[in-house]
Amino acid sequence: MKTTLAGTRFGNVEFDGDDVLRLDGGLVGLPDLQRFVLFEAKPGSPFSWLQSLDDPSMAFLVTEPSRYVPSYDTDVARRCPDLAEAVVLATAHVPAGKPRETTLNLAGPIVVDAVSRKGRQMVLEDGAYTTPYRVFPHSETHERRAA
Amino acid sequence: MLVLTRKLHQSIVIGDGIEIVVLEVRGEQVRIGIKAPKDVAVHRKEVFDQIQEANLAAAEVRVEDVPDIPE
Repeated sequence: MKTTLAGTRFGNVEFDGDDVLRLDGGLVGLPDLQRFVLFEAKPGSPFSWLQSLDDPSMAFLVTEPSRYVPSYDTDVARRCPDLAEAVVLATAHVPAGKPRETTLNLAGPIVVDAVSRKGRQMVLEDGAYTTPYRVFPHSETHERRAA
Repeated sequence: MLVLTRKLHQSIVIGDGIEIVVLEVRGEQVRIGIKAPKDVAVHRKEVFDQIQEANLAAAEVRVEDVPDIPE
């Protein structure tokens, strides 16, 4: 059954009850945001919007980091053996007007069970993931300047 | 904020089932033991803050700034 969510950054968002993701404990720092729907930013884009159903004004840019860091999914799935089929998402930040400076936060993966659609945001304390991950390598201009 | 002073090996009990104990004091470092139910998240504050900030940053991304990935 289709439901419409009004008041989002994208106008009205239509979704199916079956598509709702439930994050136990919400997001870190935002514990009241527990119900979300996920949709592609553009057709075929690796980036999606994690749209809050509890606060329609909030939508988080996310992507699957395994596309950029091959071992990441395995590393995370190891820590949540209770999730049968884990989908691992990470939040992405794009400084205004600078898409090539997009970074991912690998320290706080959002892990969702593909079957139950339930999950949580995990906190990884590994030093390996504490620095934001640059999606695009340093720009050509930067390298030329350094030469 | 509630402020309590503890000596080595003394504990603090929070709510039902959370206990914090001073395990070791070495110079400026304090080793703290935490007993908490599995469903209670316990993390270093810096890491928690970093993730909270990253979450908020992800919510501020403008729709027009979402990058196109080159083929």
